[in-house]
Amino acid sequence: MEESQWSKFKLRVNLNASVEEAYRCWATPAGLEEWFLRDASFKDAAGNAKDKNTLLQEGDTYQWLWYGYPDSVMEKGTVLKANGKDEFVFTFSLGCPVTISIYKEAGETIVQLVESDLPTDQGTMLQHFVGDSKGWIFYLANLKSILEGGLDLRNKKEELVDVITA
Amino acid sequence: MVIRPIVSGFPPNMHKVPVFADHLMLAQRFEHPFSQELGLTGFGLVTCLEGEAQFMINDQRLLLNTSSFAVINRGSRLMINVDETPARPVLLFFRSILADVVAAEIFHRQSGHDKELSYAELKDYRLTEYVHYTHASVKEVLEQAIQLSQSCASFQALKTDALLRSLLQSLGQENYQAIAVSARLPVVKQSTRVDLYKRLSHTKSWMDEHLTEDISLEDYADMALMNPAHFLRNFKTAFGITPHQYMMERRLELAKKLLQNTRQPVQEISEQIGFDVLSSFSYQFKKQEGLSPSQFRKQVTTD
Repeated sequence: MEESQWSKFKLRVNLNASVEEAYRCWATPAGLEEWFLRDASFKDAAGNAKDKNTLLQEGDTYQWLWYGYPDSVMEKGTVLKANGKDEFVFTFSLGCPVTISIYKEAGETIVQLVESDLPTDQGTMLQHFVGDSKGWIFYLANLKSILEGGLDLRNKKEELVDVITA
Repeated sequence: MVIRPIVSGFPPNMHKVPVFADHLMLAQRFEHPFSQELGLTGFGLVTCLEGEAQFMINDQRLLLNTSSFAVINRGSRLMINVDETPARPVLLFFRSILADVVAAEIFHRQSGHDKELSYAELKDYRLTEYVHYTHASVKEVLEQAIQLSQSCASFQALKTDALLRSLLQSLGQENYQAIAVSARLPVVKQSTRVDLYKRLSHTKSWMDEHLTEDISLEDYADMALMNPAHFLRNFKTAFGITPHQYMMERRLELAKKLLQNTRQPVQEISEQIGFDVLSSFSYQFKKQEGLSPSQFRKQVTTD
């Protein structure tokens, strides 16, 4: 595999839900907490806390906490783009951008995730390319599960460790 | 984060100044005595998650166990010596770039203060290169990082980095405070300032660990390798409070936690935090809080 191929990855999941509902799940704090995070706190560019049901906007910053982990495991980042309907971009692992595109295909809604600009040194490739893509695969499956059946697959117990569900 | 054993996995080219692409943790359980010169190091911390080990940082000989750790400054010389086994020493070196980012964040946040510190000062951790006690949170973070780095958890690398970044930020903040506090010491030579600050801070950290014991000023001064009058004067200059006042404040903080979070009788709490006489505890508590211990408990539990 060429080095450039390790600098990004693309994942797609099909959902039996509307584009609007899928977008809400990515672009509101409450939506993100339904399938992804224990706590999604956002502030606008002026530093004011965002309401949980507000649509996020470019320049908003976040602090994310995970189920199964204490508050010391906190991810911070920024919303790079939010078009209000089908595209949402934010910084994630190592500050790399994650682009979410939502569109229709064969009668279903597709959520496409692209994590790009990953450093291609061997350590990063092994840890972040593999680790991040593995993590997103689980969470995209959980998004599908929540939107289609309501079953939350996340591990919510801190005492239960070393599982793919957290 | 990469975890390597101290003996077999230590690559020859890392014996000199290691500049790591990522955090690097060296961890191994020793069943037999062991000694190794590790040369010049990156910025990090050393501790023991089981038993005890002796670390030689530059010319300081530090005995660390499960309740203590020491920071190592970038470029310090390090040697490890395990005499008593079993022992599980841990050496954690932070990613150099991230350490610089944390220093830069603190540098920008301090804008507007009376005396701004330089970026170079904030990257220099020599003031914090002493034995720290009350190790519980550091130990917890290291155990979690080891567990995470070997797990199949989702976003495992990202979460390990977040954990170590929070540890790094705490050390950065501690370093910022250390620079500010040491600047108050009435000495001219920088090496004397560093040495004096480290002895005072080490003793202060030791006081936290022995909060409930009956220890005299002479004992503290011995710990700081100073005469009592010199120790008292320098401690007050640095921290703005006498050692006795400091111990009293910390004891009363502990009492407040116990009153709020347990159902222990007040008498028992008074004894536990080192008071011989209940009335003395009640007097000191009321002097600081404006309420008796019982009134305080009633108020916080009602709220």
